[in-house]
Amino acid sequence: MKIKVIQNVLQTNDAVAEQNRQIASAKEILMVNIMSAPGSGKTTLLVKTLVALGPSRCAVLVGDLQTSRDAERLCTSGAQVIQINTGRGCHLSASEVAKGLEEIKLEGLSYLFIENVGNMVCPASFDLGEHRRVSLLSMPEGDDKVAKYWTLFQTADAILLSKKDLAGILDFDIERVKNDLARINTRAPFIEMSSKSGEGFEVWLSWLKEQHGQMKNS
Amino acid sequence: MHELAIAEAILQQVLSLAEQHQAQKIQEVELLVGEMRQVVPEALETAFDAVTRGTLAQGAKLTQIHECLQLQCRQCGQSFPARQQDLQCPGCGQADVKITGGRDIILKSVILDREETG
Repeated sequence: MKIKVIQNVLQTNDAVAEQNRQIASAKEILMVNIMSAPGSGKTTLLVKTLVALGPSRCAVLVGDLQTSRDAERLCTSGAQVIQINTGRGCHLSASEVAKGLEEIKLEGLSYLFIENVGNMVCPASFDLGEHRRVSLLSMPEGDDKVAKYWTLFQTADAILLSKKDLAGILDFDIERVKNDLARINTRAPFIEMSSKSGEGFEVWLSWLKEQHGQMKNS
Repeated sequence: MHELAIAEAILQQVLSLAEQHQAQKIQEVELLVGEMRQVVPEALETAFDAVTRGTLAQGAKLTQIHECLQLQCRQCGQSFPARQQDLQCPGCGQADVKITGGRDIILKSVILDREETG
């Protein structure tokens, strides 16, 4: 017996993601999904960001296969941090984020960051309920990654180039990255940053605050 | 690999359908796989074989039909197919697009074995 179905395979994940989004929106909390390769500087950037925005206004859900090392670092900011260990999972899912949301005190928050599992492929495919997606590319990774892992950057609402303080040391062609981005995503701002030197940090904070305002007014 | 999560989601849906239709076996699963999902067909095949072991879907044939990316420019409204890693609008040159096709993985059909009742 052949049954015609026409059903989105990821509908369960997407339905939970939409619930997550509505929970955050109802409390006027901007949910930001941060994605990149492992070691790009997500955690370092987030620690600085949480302190700058005010730790009492922020919370983080951090995904890793194993350990709570990132959560321990993020906790130094004073913000609420929930570690999600995925075991074998190479990306976070909406249901894992939903469980994390249950453990967070949402009252008084303005920002909820999701530090996704370090991976340039799989996280791009899964809606977690975020309002905005941010993709990081770090200088040590090389200037060809936008072309190689285009779905991570095409779906981003902002693209950050991290570890810019290494510019004089590495052979990294920023124009090549900008040209590749011009072919796949001209919507997202491209912010060149260094958590070490502080370059670009105020631009990043301004973008976050602007996005929060847009979310509240939408 | 995300193909494992996708295979598990497919399995849940086809088992639910099998239960609804009181089927004894799932023979074939037909998917429309959107290019945006970056699924490696062989990896999905392997993942599907693994997750279906011991279930009604064990041994089911998995048919994957590739769906190319279709885009619509958010700036000028033009619709166009994506060229590999180039999503620039041929009309206005911007790469600010809405994905109108090839974004999702769709369960198109399943073939079930069901004992016919008299």
